[in-house]
Amino acid sequence: MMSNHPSSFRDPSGFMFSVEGTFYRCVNKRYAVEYDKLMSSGLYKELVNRNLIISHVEVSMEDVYSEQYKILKPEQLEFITYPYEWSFSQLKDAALTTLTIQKIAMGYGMSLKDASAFNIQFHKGKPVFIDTLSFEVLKQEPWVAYKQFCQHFFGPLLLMRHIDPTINKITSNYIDGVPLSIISKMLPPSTKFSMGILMHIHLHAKSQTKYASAQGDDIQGIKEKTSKKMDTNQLRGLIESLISAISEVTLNKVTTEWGDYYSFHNYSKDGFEHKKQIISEYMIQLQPQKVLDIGGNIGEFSKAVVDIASLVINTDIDPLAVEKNYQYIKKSKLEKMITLVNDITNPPPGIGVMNRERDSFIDRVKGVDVVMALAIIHHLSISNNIPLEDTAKMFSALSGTLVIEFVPKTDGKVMHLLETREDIFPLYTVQGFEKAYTKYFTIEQKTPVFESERIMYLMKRL
Amino acid sequence: MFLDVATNLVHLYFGISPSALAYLDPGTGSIIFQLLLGSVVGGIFFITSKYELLKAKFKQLLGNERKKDQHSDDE
Repeated sequence: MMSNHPSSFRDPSGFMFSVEGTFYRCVNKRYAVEYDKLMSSGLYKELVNRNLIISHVEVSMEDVYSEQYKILKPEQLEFITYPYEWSFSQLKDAALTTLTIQKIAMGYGMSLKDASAFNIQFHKGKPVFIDTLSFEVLKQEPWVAYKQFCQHFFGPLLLMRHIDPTINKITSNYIDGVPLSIISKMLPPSTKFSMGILMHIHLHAKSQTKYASAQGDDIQGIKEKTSKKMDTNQLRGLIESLISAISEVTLNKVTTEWGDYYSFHNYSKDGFEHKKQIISEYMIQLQPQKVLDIGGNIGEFSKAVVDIASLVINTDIDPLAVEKNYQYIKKSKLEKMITLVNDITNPPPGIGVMNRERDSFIDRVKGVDVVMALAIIHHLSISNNIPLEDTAKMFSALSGTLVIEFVPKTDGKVMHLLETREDIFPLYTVQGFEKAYTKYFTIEQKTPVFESERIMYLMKRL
Repeated sequence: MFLDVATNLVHLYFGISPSALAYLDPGTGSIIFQLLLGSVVGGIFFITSKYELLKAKFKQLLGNERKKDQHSDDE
């Protein structure tokens, strides 16, 4: 059965739809000229060769839409992430990918008509542009996607740099990017001394607010102003200026609780290796396709799975841990791991029209072959007061197989959590844990970790 | 020309900005701002690209001279 993708309605050039789980793109007749130019000019070929755009094949499929021109079957993505789940460098690389594409496109007489961060996905370890219908014929006019680019990329990057790396999650409240007037107000005044930020954020924001309130006679003046031309040098200058401004933004070297977690964990070297070995052994038995690692920190244990599974989705609450993992994925050209920022006690909901344009985190991960929940149970049940049984229910809703580590109260990490609060968790014991979890799972294997009091479990949903 | 752009940018910087939640699409302000910015970034781009071109030609010339020198040394 065919169904249109709920986020694919804004652009009249075409739309996404799926048939039995496979995604296709319909190119409408009104976009025929642009699509043919993209394909015949050599632009598409260059972008595919440089791994900058998702490739596709044209397929024959009748009666999809009365105005259909072509039906494309793009290379399928394994997992979708959203900009509000990315770490600093993920967003920065996505921004530079978008600008590189625009620069190349201009060389072929084309230009991006959208610069939405949602048009970038991480595929085989790299950012890739997924909206094949975003190209238009280059005109001697201002770049139509300039505002969107600044709101989706430059602004949020600056907030992460100048305020806090965790702030990116607020961008989920602004589906078309954070308004520049808000970014301009949030940034420290010192940013006005940086030419790139002054131009593309502060003055840009002022121009937006100035002209947004125009009325009456002003409108004619605005019409005259907006009909002026911009020559190729000016357009190239704008893109080069954005590339240089984005390249200059770097994250301050800050340490967090999690970024250095493994320097302070409670395992001996042997215990740490043993835990990796247990996970590998479980995974060899399970032979999973997709594995979700919840609270996976910098990906140490995801790496133990990456050669066995076809995709490991590594998530962590700390954007700096995700940042470290992303740098590792990039450096080691790891194609089978995706990393994203996620707080499992408050995962991103569905957003946009009818809450259906962007899927909730839960909807995207539901049905993975295995959930790994290593050294996270004490954060869920003690730091967040979630009853053990509720955590079991949550994991059972995500997957049929669970690899979980129980961290007892005698472990240094749990003792630390209980140092400053009353212990209201009498059921938080090995027996209490097993009792709660066996309401939803059967325990297939139970393996104590060497030189620690922690226990690893392999469980199957009832 | 440059003075016009500079005056406009200064005027924009010190001007009073009303709320962003106004009626017209704020994209209008982005378009007008780009036209203003165009002469600045376009000028910088023009100068830097010519400079890069000159630098490359100079390097190429210098390289040829070096090759010539090496060639004559070999002889």
